[in-house]
Amino acid sequence: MKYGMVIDLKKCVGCYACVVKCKQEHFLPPGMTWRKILMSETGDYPNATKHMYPILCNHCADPACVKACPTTATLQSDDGIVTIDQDKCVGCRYCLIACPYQARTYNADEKKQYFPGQGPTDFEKLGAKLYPHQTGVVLKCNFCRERIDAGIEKGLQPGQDMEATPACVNICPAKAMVFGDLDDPDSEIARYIREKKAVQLHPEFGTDPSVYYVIN
Amino acid sequence: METENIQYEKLRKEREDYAVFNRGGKKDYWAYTQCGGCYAICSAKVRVVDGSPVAIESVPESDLGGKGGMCAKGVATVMDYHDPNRVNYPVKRTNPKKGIGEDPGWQRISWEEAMDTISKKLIEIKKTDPRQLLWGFTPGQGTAFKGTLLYGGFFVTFGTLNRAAGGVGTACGAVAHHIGALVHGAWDILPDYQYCNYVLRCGGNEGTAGGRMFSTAVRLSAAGRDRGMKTIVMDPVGYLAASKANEWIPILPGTDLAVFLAMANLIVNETGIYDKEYIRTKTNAPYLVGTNRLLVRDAASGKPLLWDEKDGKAKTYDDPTLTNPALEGEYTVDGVKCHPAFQLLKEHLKQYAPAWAAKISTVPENTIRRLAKELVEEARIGSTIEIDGKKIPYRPACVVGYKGLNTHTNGFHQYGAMALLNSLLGNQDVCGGILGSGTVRGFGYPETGRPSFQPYAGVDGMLIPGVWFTKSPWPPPEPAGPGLMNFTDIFPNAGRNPYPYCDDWDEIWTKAGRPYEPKALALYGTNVVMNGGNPKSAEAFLKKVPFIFSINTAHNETSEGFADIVLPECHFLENLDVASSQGFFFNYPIGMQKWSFHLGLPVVEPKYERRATLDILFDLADRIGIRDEYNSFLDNWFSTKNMKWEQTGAKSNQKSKQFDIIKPEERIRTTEFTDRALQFYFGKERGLDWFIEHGFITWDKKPEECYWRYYVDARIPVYHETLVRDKEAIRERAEKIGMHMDWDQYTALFSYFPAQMYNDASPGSGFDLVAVSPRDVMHTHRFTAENPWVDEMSETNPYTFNIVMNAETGMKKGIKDGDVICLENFKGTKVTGRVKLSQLIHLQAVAVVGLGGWAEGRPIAKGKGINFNQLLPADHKHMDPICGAFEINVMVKAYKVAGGK
Repeated sequence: MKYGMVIDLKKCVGCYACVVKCKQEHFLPPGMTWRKILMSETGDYPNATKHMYPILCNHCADPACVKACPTTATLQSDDGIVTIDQDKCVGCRYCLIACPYQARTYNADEKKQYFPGQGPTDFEKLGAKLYPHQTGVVLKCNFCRERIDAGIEKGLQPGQDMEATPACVNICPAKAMVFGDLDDPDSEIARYIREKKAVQLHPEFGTDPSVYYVIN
Repeated sequence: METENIQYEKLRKEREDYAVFNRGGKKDYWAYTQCGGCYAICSAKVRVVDGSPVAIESVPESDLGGKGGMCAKGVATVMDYHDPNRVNYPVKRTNPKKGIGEDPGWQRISWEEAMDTISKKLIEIKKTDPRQLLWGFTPGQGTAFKGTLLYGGFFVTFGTLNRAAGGVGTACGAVAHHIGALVHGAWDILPDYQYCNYVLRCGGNEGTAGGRMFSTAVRLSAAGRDRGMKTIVMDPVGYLAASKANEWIPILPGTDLAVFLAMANLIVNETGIYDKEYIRTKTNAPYLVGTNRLLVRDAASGKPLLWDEKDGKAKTYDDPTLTNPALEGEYTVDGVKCHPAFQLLKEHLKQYAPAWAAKISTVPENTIRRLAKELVEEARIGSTIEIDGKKIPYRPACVVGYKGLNTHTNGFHQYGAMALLNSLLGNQDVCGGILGSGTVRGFGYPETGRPSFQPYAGVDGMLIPGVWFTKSPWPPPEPAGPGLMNFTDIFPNAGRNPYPYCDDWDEIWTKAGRPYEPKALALYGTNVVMNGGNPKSAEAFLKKVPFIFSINTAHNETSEGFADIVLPECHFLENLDVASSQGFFFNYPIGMQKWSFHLGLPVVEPKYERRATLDILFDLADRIGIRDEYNSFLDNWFSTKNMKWEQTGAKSNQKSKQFDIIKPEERIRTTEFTDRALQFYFGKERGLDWFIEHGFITWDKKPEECYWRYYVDARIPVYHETLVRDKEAIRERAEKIGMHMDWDQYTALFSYFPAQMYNDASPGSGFDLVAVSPRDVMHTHRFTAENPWVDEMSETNPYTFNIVMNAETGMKKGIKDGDVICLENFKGTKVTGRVKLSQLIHLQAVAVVGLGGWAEGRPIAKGKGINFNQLLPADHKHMDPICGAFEINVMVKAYKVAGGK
């Protein structure tokens, strides 16, 4: 069992829904995102191309971050998901440097508010209750671990049942993402990767990412 | 708890009604509603914890939206709800000074005082002359149909057609909606993504960054691409729709008209392959035209005549023996020499050579030829397909476009020429082609047959939409006035235009004899200072209006600078809004996607003293004494007896005296009204309670509904006779008051005219760049800039807050990526901003997303982005002479003012 994701860049329109939904789902503080969209151009006018790459933690099969962590805060479970135990993290940020994909962010103690100077909104207050984040630690995408675990307990299937699937996958209006078990050759994601010839980004980094891309 | 503190009796009662939305006091629940992030009003469900909305998605089981997916601005609306800057109580202005940037000095007042003040003014106005009341609304932020239907209907009932909306419509779809109505019976168009194979998209970003069907279009077009649908984007901008296209063809802004006419010429006069049966039976191309350029009509009935080749006779369009109407030739009818309009079109098109079009547009000639060839080939003219057992014409190719085409002074001809291409392909409202969006022919929910509507044939056998709001497009009213401050009475084909927020309004109104003065302005959101042309032009007019009131969820530049009273509206997450369901001809899922009837529902009870839109309007109607008539309007509309602003239809309740949902004398509130409307549509057991629980109702679409073209006996215009017929009457009235329009545009066949911007600056004057303002994927109107999540994303998107300029052009001007530059228009108006140099924009274009606000009530939006609109001259010369579209581009020069970091 190795959870992974494929992002179809032919379908993706770069609308930022996945980035914002992740912030919403995890009550992330101002300035922090666990997904990003990298935009660039190649070529010369008028034969130029716009590239939009939604990126996130790759939950690599051979993660550099796990090796770098001195406190075992960063661990990889049997299903491939790489998580951070905020209680164990001391904020040394070795993992931040070790990750070749720059997928991690340090949560500095900056007491930011979404409406600066106007106090935390009810949303932010609820976030502190429902999904608290410590400061002085490193944070990153966890493939919505809590949705997957809660879903499995209900007998739901991650990637097939929306309740058990990462929020970003569900929210994409272009239906550009598939989530599931990369180790199962008959799974929807495995077939999608094969049929559409999806690739990993920067395979030369040697960490064997679990996020694949269908290139436009 | 909140209700106990409320003094205003009506509001207390409304809140008691709203207790039904507290979901039994649950602490953590999901509730259905519709998204209000833009005017697409996609399906939505919202998670509420401890009485606060915390998450939103679309409804996976519905075809309205992304089937669980939702765009960023929709997702972000949760944070709009929580904005501490929202308007919570009625407020009045204590600073008597009005102007851009003035501090209003808001003072909280009671609803009683607010409504008493407003209604007294309106009663006085109604007694003397209702036209003294102007009004405007926004279709944004979940208000699309609250604006056009509930709000617009209120003022139509009041008796004033002085719509003063600012940029709404005029900087958007003034022409597209008019031609959309005449050709598709719909507000807008979209390719039938499920079956289309080839899309030529020009000047519009539906499916990638905009449009009234946003998430639905994103989903369908992505699936289309996956299926192998090819898209060619012809646009000055290459980083929006073009980023998902197979090919980007840069074009000089506002010159698509030349390319379309050249393509039509190639199709009609060179290739000779076009859908003759469609042209013959579904358009007015076979109508006979006399030497005076008017239609030849039957002496007895006045109906237009056609020449039947079968028996060599002239017959009316509805003659049952009409078999083979001629498209070409010369005939004599009652001594009058005449030709089918198509014959004239063929001759007319010959002047538009591809080489000529290439020179004007910078699109290479062989590209123009290739596009024409490919469109015809891909359209598979003559083919059919079976859908659910019905044989439907199959035309899987189309041309589509929107704002970039129609918001120019040549917009009518430009957008119309695009429609002409589609007519030649025979692809309009058939499988795979171009569909009027949402779906304009509906038989209703199978169990009840409601709501049902369809376009139909009217005067001269021409298509009339079954559902419409704003001025009905056909038949056009007789030119009248001047009597309206927006002069739409003079211009029969204009539903709205930039007036009165134009520099020359005062001068023109004086020439019109100043029949009355503006006494009050009622605004629903619409931020006219920002969405029209130069804010100073808007300011000049607004200062003349002694009383302005505005219904807002948040303050904006217009309310702060100019409103006397602001009323707090419920955010869409706390607003009961049955109007949101009425998107049949606007945002409903197109093609064979299912009918998906949702409801705008409060997911939480409203807080503070915010009120639902319809409750505010009912209250005002009661006080002013127009409640009976307003009830009638709503009853006519929602019961489908008469789904128009003009309440004079044959089935209207004024004639039949049949009231299905609300009687004139009833004083019910929004919850009761909504419950009744839903039960009327779907049966006694499916009222408000049912919708709170289930959220929506869905049923399969029939191919005769979405692919209705050959099931409705009506024709569409290829020849616009009324432009010829009414030209002198319009010109006389307009010229008298100093509106010197380009009268040559009042011609029956689509013709070439350059967009006004190219006349403003002469070559060599230094104003060498065309400034354009495309949609950004995360922004709509101005309110999105206030959302902190959207703001964060915008900071990381290089195309959002910056001025985008071609890299080579920049280099030639000594401009480097990241420099601060100035764009200066030919009138000396300047805007500054940081430049992003790009390979994905035409050499002669610069692009700016229209933002740049200063309202104190929108602290997140303040100072973000660039105020593009102030570069746009607002006067009669920069208005399309037919539909009132605003010229949305302007010639500028660009120069560096500071180095970047």
